[in-house]
Amino acid sequence: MLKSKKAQTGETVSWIVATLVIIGILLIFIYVSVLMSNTKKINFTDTATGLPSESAILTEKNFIANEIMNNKNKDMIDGILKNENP
Amino acid sequence: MKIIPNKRGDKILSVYWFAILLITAGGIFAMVYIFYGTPYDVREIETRILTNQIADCVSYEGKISQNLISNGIAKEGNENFLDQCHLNFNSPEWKDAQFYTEVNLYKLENLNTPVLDIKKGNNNWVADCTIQENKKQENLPTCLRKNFYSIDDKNNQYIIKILSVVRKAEKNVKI
Repeated sequence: MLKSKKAQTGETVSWIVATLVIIGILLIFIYVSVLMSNTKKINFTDTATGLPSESAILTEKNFIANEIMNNKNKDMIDGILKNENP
Repeated sequence: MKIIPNKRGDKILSVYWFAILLITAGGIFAMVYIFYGTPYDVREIETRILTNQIADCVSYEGKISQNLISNGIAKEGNENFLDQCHLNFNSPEWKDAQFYTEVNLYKLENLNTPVLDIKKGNNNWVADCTIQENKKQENLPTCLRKNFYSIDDKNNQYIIKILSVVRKAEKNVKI
């Protein structure tokens, strides 16, 4: 008696595809966790200016020194500092 | 006549489900291990705090400390000036000091030769900063270079350059 095995083959293929999908999803999640672990760097910014905390303090120091000197060459100094603090 | 059902298919399916369960559990374990096994890297903020502390110590309210420059002249014996900045680089957790800091004061007229060069900490880490300039390597120390403008009591103008280095790679990076 000849038996058609089409249904059996179809079911097996479904299982193989399902397994590949499960492994694929797991790999995607593992990759995402690797990316997320790379973001575990703590850094604070000044809430008022949005700049890194030290930049805000140094900018304030520059401003005060410039005010004391009533600086004419402020642009030149800002240029030097900008080159050095990219 | 009694027909005995063939249960071989069910057994294979059970093994398959068990394998899928193991793979899924292994995947979840890997995700948790990767994420929680990576320590938080706080070295960048440490360098920023160090820079702030030194900047406040060297120059306050726009004027350079008179312990460094007085009457427009650099004071003698200020190699240990940073000891006055309440910095403690020695930790019982580490055999070697994990910090290094360097302060250079340049007159505005001559930005090539510093009038003052003060250092503190373990200078073994400085060379790694040069490597970091080209490509950032997590395992190497974190370096931060910042400059600002200040004046002395005679209103001479200076550019102050601060280099802060924090190593502590073992505690901040997964090695």
